[in-house]
Amino acid sequence: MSCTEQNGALCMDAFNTSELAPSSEIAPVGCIPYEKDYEGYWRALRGAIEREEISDRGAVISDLIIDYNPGHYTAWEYRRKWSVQEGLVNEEIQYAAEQVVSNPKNYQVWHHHRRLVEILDKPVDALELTRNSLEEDAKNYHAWSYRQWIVKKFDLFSNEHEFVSKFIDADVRNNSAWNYRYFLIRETKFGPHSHFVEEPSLVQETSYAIRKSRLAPHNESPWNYIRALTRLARMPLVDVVGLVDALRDSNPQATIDNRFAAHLYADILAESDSRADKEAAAKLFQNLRDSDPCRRRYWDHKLSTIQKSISRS
Amino acid sequence: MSTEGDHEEESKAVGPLTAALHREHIKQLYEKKESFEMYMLEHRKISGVYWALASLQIMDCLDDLPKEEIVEWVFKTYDKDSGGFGANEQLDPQLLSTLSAVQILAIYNELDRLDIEKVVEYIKSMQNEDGSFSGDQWGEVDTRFSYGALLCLKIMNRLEDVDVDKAIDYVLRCRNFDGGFGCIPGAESHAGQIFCCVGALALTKSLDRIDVDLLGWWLSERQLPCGGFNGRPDKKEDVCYSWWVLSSMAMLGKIDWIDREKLTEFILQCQSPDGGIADRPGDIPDVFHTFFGLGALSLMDFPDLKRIDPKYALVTEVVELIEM
Repeated sequence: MSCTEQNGALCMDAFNTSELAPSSEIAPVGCIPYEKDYEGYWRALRGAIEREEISDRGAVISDLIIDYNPGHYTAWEYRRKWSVQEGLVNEEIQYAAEQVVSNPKNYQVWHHHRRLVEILDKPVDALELTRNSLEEDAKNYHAWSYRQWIVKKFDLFSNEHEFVSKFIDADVRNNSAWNYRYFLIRETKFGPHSHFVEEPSLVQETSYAIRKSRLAPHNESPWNYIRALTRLARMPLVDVVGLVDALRDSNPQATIDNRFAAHLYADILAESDSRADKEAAAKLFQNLRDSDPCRRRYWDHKLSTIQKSISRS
Repeated sequence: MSTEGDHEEESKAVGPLTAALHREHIKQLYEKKESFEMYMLEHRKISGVYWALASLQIMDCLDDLPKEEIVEWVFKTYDKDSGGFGANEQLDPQLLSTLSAVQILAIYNELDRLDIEKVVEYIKSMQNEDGSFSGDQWGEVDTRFSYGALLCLKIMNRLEDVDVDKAIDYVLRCRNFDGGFGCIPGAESHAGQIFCCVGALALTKSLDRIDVDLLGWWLSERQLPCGGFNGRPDKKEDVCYSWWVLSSMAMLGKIDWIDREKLTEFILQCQSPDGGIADRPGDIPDVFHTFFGLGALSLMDFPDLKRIDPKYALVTEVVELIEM
């Protein structure tokens, strides 16, 4: 439900706040016009709140306030109370969805939608909303985190694997998508939602990540994902089927372009009991230090750790 | 070929820190009440004032703005019923606004003007059963609010008034597969959220509970070939991440794991010729990026700037008074 300025003026009359009516002054150059209107609307809404009035005209005014300031949490709360009182929560969810489209990076608009979903205790259009938002901006932080909450709360995991795979297919470097993929694995295979139908195996997931990493070997996300899966499964990196081969194939002479693969390979070699492997790891860390001078002190740290390990072996 | 440097290297020469211009920019921002920038700041004005004052204090020119007028205005945002401060006059209390208010009073050494009992009560009321904190009375939860609450209490020396163990447990639940932290459990690691979580852990002496090396490395990987930092993998650089990332690394003791010269160069390139610092070279400056650029330079011991404490985001002489 959106408002026109005319509606606003009518509501202001209804509030009988003629001394607070929208200013007809010409705004100074460079100023947003109707700035004084905003102050007037907020004053009017505060008056309504103080009188404990929850009304249609209050809802209209809160919409105008939100237009100027989508972060205005009190105006949002007013709308929640009003929509519950009037039995208009479903309509209000539509309004919230429209606001998400206009303000996709605003915390309060997403929060409003979530609160209404909580009130109805139904997901309503949340999956569609987040999907549309992500199609506009595949890394929208709010959209991904809201989708996680919806999927977990209402146990809607069944199509999510396919959903996230599409985003990774579209952009293998999309870290938000990899984060979401990890969330799915953790909640289904390793978590309470393990009745999820197409539960992937660890071997499948790590093969997937290795395959995808070839498209962008310099990108950190698939490698972080593999490391994390092994921690979830409490498995040493070296036991991940195909990983060592894939890393060797990526020709890890440690250039700046494949330093994540080289780093992972070096870490695997460093974990080995064999002195020769450890020395190979040290050589890789040295190459990494030479090719990535930005982080030379980090590589110094890795080198000193591996040297200590070599001298003990 | 790396995609991390998907922009042209800036070829203009790196000049000095134009502190005088930044001072002037901040002064004008404060004085020109009817400007576009001030309008955009209206709904978080109190944080804008904090960023302005903190910037001036780093440059050792706090007196550029009128102290009494500002302190009086801060109390106009105070809601004596709840004990919280709003983002502006007539706005409802909010946790981060309360933090900004308390930080402003700390900057001016006027903490005893606070009704500390009441403010503590407000913050306590924001803690939820699971240890998390809400930002306002309507319930939005985010690790930013965990940090805001704990820092606010720490400044007032009242940390024990909330359930710190539960607060930290909640923060740790927001730890991710890559060692970073998000806004709620499961949410993607993001440098801004990491700063808040690491800050919360640092303030409560709980950093031993995380893998410092893993996170330190993740943070060091935010540095791009241009010298600037991004906030998460494969995103663009932005001066504000200079602060979020660098202060986190300072708290973890890993500030050496990045290239200081390159970061310094990047921040200096983000200065506007009219004063103020922008998110990227050539963009319009604002007080938010000005503070974070100066804060990062301070952490790297840039000459003629006061040293800032990464946990508090306040200069060390203010922190010394607090911790006395």
